[in-house]
Amino acid sequence: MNRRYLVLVERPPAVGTLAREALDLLLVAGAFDLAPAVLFLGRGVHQLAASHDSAPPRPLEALATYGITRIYVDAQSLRREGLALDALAPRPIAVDGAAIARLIAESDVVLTT
Amino acid sequence: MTVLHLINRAPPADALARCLASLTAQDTVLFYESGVLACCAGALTSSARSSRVRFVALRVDVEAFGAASRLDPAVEIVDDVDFVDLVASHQPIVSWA
Repeated sequence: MNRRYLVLVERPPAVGTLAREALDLLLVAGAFDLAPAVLFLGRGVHQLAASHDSAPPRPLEALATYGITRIYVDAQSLRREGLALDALAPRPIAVDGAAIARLIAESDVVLTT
Repeated sequence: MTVLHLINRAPPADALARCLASLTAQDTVLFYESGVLACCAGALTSSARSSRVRFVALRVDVEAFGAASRLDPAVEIVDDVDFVDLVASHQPIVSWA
């Protein structure tokens, strides 16, 4: 039986390599049909902030290609960081503390970056 | 199984706030390394203190940081063997960054 994976992304972009490693981990898990879920929280929500210039496609755009559709964002962190849900890409599902507790409880393995 | 939450950084890391917002009754929160400074008096919210969540701190780190007399009353002190037991008896384990 497949184990259920949840990846927490708590770090902002361009701080160390951890966020990039989280993405690599997600894509590998996706490639093996493990269907991991990912939750962005704290400053990690900035990973989802879409750039407004004509930059090349961001690596996060690859999530859908790898079948990773369970993308969540902590609503409270969004408010604290001053970001709006519709400014994020790929578009995540906003969750509150109780929903995060359920996501964690439903997972076998929770990885933090 | 219930969830084991790990906090290993001192404030002002806001990991504790996110952890407290995501707790379920029966979960355990373990404070270790400089995270023991995050469970000193006044650090835990009253709703967290009244919840059915167990708060524990690792003895060796509590002593290293001289925090024994300042811990929140809701926090009990555990040793390394208890740490191993907690890891074995909980799933999943969440390290809050």
